Amino acid sequence: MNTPIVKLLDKDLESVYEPSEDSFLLIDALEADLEVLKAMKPVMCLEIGSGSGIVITALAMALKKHCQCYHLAIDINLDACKISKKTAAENLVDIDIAQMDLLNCIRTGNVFDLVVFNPPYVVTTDDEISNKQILFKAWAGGTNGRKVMERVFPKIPHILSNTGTFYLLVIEANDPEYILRVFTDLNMVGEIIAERKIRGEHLYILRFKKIK
Amino acid sequence: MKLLTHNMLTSKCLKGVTVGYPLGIVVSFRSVYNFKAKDIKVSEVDFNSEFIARIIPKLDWATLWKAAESIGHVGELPQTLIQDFETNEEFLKKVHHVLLEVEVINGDLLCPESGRKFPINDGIPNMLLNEDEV
Repeated sequence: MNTPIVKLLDKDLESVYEPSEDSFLLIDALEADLEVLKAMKPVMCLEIGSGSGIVITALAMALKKHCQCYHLAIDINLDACKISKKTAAENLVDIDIAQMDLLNCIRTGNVFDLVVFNPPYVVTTDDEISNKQILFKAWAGGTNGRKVMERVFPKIPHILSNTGTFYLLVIEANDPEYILRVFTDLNMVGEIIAERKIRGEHLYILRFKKIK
Repeated sequence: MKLLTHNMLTSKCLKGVTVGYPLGIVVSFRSVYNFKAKDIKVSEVDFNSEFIARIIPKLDWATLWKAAESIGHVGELPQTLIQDFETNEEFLKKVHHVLLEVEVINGDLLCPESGRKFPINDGIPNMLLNEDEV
C-alpha cells in the first residue's frame, strides 16, 4: 500500500492529529490483510475519527486498483473533516465526509463491509475528554483510555454487514484482552493481528468479525 | 455530500425523536452570473455495474428516490425498486448517477420529526448535537 501524501500546515496541527506511529501501524495491518480485503470486495467502508484522513485514504488508494468502493469518513472536528477531504483529493480518491460525534447519526442496517477506528486511547481523567481544545478529542480516552471507544463498541454489530470486518487500534493500557471479551458478548470474535512497541506505548491492532 | 451518504444518516439520536429518518434535504442557491442555481455539483464518476448492483440491497430505496426527487435529480428513476436490477445496465446507470455523481454542496438536512436543521457546508454535513439535545 502506498502512503498517502498528507499536507498539514502549522495551523492545522493546532487542531488536527498529525499522522504518527499508530496511524502507520493501522495502515500496515490493513496492508497485511489486503489480499483478503480484495477477495471480499467491500462496497462500503467507514472510518470513525479520520483526523488527517491518512488511513481511509490509504485504504481507498489500495482498493481502487481492484474494485469500486464507497468510503465515508467521520470526525467530530470540522478542521479534521476538511483536512480528510483535502487528503483524499490530493491522492485522487473519492471520500465523502460527515462531521459527527462517533456514530451518533449513522443509521443501523448492517451496511458497512469495513469499519476502521483509531480512537482516542490515551489514559486521562474523564474531564479531559470534554476539554474545550478540540485536539483533546483526538487522543483523550478517559479512564483506562476506553471511555470514548466504549461508546462505539455496542453499535458496531448494528452497522457492520454480516460478513464485515472491524479494525480497532488500542494500547496496552486499554487492556486488549478485556476488549476482546467485550466483543464476545456482542457476538463477535476478535483477535490481535499486529502489535508494535514505540516509545512509551505498546500499540495493538484488533480485528473483529461477526460470529455466524 | 452524496445521496449515498444521506441514505446512511439519521437524527434518531435527538431527544424525543423516535425514527428520525429519512432526513429532508433543502439545497441552498448560489449565484451564477445573474442566475440563481441550486448548490449541487454533478461530476462524472466511473461506472461499475457490479458495484452498483451490490450496493443497492444496502440502500433504503424509498429514501434514495425521495432524496433525488427533492433535489430535482430523480430523472427516470422508478419510485419502487425493479426486479432483476442486477442485469439491467440502463437502470444501474441511473442509480449510479444519483448515488455517486450528484453532490449537495450547501444546504440543510432536516429532522423529519423535530425540524432540527443540520447545515451542509462545502459538502460536509454538520451532524453535531448540543448537549441538551441528546
